[in-house]
Amino acid sequence: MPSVLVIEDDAAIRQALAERLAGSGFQVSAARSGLEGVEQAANERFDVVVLDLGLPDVDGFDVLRMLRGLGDVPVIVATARDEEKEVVRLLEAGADDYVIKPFSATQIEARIKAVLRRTMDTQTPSSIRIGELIIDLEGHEARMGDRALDLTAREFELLTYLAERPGVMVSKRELMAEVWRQPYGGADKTVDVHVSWLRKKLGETAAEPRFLHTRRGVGVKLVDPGQ
Amino acid sequence: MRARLVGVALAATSMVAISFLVPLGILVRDLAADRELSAAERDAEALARLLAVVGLDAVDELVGPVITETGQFGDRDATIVSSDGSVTGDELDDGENVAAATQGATFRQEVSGGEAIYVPVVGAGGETAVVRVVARAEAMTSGVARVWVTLGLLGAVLVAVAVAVADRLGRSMIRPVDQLAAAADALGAGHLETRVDIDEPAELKKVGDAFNRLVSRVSGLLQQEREMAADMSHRLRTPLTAARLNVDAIPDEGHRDRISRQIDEIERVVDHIIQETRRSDRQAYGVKSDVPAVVANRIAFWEVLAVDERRQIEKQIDVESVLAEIPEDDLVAALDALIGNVFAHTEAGVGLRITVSTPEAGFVDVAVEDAGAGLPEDPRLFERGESGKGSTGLGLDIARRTARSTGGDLTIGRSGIGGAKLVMHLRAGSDV
Repeated sequence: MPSVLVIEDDAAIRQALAERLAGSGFQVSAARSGLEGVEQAANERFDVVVLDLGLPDVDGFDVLRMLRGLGDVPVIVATARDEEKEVVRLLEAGADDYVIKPFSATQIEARIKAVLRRTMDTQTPSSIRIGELIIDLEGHEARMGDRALDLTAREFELLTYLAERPGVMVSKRELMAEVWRQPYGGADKTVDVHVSWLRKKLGETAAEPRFLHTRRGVGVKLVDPGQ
Repeated sequence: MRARLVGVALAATSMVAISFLVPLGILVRDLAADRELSAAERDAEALARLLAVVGLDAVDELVGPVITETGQFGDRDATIVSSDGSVTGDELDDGENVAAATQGATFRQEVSGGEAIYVPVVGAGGETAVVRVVARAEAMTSGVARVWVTLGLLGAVLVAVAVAVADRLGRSMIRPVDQLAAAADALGAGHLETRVDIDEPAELKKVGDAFNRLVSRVSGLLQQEREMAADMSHRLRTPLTAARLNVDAIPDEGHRDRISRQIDEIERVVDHIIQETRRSDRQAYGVKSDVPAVVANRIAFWEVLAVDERRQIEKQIDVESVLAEIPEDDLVAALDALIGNVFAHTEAGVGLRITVSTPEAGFVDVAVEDAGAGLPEDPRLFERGESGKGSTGLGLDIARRTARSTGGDLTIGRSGIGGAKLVMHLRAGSDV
């Protein structure tokens, strides 16, 4: 059972996260301040730490540096600031990943699992194949049979995210958070337009979908048309 | 103000010049007349002394030769009237004056062509002759005209110099005032980076310094307000996270979705505030966007979704290139908000018409129309959270603020194709 340390001063978030993660099979410990969190991390080995940046006693960046000093425990930072320079600063300070507030339980859970996959040396595939669609994750390119797809960086990320979850209806909120790394903010039409562009490049239409299937108001999923 | 200063200088120097030059001109004229009369008197006395020395009998032999045949002694007309009435020199036409002089009086009298000096000469036998020398009028005014012209020119030069100096002084006073006026205009247009640099005059330097302090203060307060709004908005994301996590735990799906939608709306408002504060931070004055090009680009971006949703986008871009003073990102956000609203609030299959036109000089209109049911005619339509379509109305707010930031506005009406017509009226810069 993977262990998670949640360092969060907001009691409501701390409690809700602990309950949700515990319900999903994680062994959860919680700290309400930066120093308390560092102390726990020093005394106990955790598989991942979820760290809130806005702590009352110590600056979140300092806590992050202290955790890095203690060992190589993966740290996911929860921050309210989504500016690029802030994110770069976080990653440079040693964060393994970040999540922008407000986030959902599903989102933080997915991030924890992704970080665990990476750190537990799980074999990550170098490519994904769904029917004729082949996504080369290392080469950062996609092909439809022999035809190379001319995708933008965002379209490639969108396609990859959906391809990693074949047959799963992914909500626009999740796509905004995971692919765009932005708060939802009602930008669902942004997702729609990019899905349409992707669909066009995959050579299909909304009226006759093959790989990409959308459900208005719900989300989008990628399926193998041969199945 | 500059013209008034020049006018004052012109009036003052003209009055001074006139008050000095006119008396001076009169004086010069009188001096010239006096000089000629004095010379004529000297000539008359010289002739009289000569007569007294040589005797009245020798007028013809000794004095006659010094008077020319034309009656000139030196440069002047001269006449000697002997006691027997014979005349040597210039012809006489003033017998009464000669008769008066014969009585022993020396005097001066105006005659035709000038002024005559009469000097009596008494001979050894008691007989009296009269010497008459005429100071001609043209000789009495000789050189006066030239002096007057010189004085006039001198006066004109003085007035011109005074006007030039006043104009220069006026300009030096007006330049900082103009600079202040231009800076105030720029500040009014939202250019908060505006500052003035005035060295003199000291009074205007004080005003300039006060203006700079005022602008700095305003900028600081706005920055403070933006930072506070951004900070508050970021802080709001923490309780929103708690709400979002707790909503996920609600077992009843309907209840969960309902609360989740409400949280979505709060998130939109919070994100909008954060985006607006960032927009204000990055606002760069003088940055322009080519409106038709950006509109064409956004139509191309949305067209693919339109195809998916079986929507027809009718494009009418009547102008080639018009610049508006607005960052391209902001124009893109405003257009996406308007076009996105059509996609979000009308059924699939409903068509759009997007037009770019220049209805009046200095403005460019971008109209987004749809063939849907249209928007309600509600004055609160532009207020956040009052779109009347079940959304937050932030899209309209973004478009309105963008249009107003250029000096234009957003208007709403009914479209010729059936639905709503939203027009961003943007103030244009200059054609590229």
